Amino acid sequence: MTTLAPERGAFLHEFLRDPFTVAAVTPSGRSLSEAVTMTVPGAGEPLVVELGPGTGAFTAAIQARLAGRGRHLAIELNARFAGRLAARYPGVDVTVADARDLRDILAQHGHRRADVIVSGLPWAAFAPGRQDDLLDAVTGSLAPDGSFTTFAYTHTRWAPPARRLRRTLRARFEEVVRSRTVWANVPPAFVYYCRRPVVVQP
Amino acid sequence: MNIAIVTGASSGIGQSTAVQLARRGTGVILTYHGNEAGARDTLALIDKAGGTAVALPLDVGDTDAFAPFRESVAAALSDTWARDTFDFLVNNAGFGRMALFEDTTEGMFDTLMRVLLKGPYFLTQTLLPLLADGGAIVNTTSNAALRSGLEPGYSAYGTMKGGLVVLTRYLAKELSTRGIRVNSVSPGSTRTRIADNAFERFPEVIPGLAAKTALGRIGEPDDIGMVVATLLSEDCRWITAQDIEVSGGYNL
Repeated sequence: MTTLAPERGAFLHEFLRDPFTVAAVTPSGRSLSEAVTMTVPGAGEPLVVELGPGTGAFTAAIQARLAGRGRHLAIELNARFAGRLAARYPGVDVTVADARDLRDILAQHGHRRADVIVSGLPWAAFAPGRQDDLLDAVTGSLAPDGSFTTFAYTHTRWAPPARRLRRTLRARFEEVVRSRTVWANVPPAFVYYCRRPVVVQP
Repeated sequence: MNIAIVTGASSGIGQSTAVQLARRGTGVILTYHGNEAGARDTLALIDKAGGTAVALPLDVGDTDAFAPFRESVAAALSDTWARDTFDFLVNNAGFGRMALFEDTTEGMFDTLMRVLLKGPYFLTQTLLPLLADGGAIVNTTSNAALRSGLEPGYSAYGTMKGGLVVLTRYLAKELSTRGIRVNSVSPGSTRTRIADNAFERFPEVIPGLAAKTALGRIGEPDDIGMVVATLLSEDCRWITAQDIEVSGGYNL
């Protein structure tokens, strides 16, 4: 609790400065980070991409699950957050970029497709066009047998942006499974586990 | 196991009430608005006390949020406690604004009305289908609504709290058919974050308030939270429609 306080302060500060870029408000709790990162395989050398790590709520959980295996690429739009993250987690390749450019970023790093994509992005704050672009980037960068996870808050699940996200995920993945609510999180949240991306050939 | 909903439990009296209830073995659904860090603190305190709690965001001034809130409550009850009802409701969430009568704006009046009176009224109405027969409600009112606590500057705040005292009686009457008891507590000056954390910003007012209090200090959140928890308990099963001043003898 106390160790999280400085991160929360930094996050809130950034949110107040630029609420549309940093919209998840506070780093999410440990039980949520465990649920979101459950898709990181416990063996092998997977390529894990983290979108919008913010202050690193999911970063530690991914690092713990990888335990030195594979690669962990974090894409953060906010340069200050990216700097802090890179300093704190030397094992993570932190790139300051827009997650919409994921395909190019993977190419620049010499990677092919990601085995796991984990998103901490504030979907509800995005305009429909931006949601679509981001999901294009995700489905275009994910291995056919890879998985994509993202979370949503239970209390906003009937709001239009949340319903739109659910619809869009179902249109873009053959399998979308919603987790149970993580009631311990403040506010309570749940996870979408998405597999088998539907890729439209250009 | 009893389950309570406590609104405005990220600090002050609500936080204390939530923790006191948890210590007495009651499961707690607490609400917060804005102060997410405070809600986490309350959860941590309850966890330390060996209790179970869920924190849900709720703006008591926004009646449109009440129906979705009830859905969240129903889901939390069933997932966390395998229940489809709860037993106690504490309408505590509120805020303070002080202005002399002649300076009170319509905007300030309306905001106080929305949060302190209309909110508890319709939140209780919305949650009523989930409140178990034989349950209990406690509303947090204020001695600003009583003769003992009358001070200049609280005409709007005290008027809303006075309305809540009257609502308490009507609820006690109408809900008695289901065995639901309804009471209120009227705290005096209590060290909380009310009015933008006024007691921390203006600590110089504390000695004057303490001097007017028979027991010689201002109230602490636990002074009130313990009373609320007791009023909800079996110990007070024959008490309904009462407003209990909890002020250490202010202006006695």
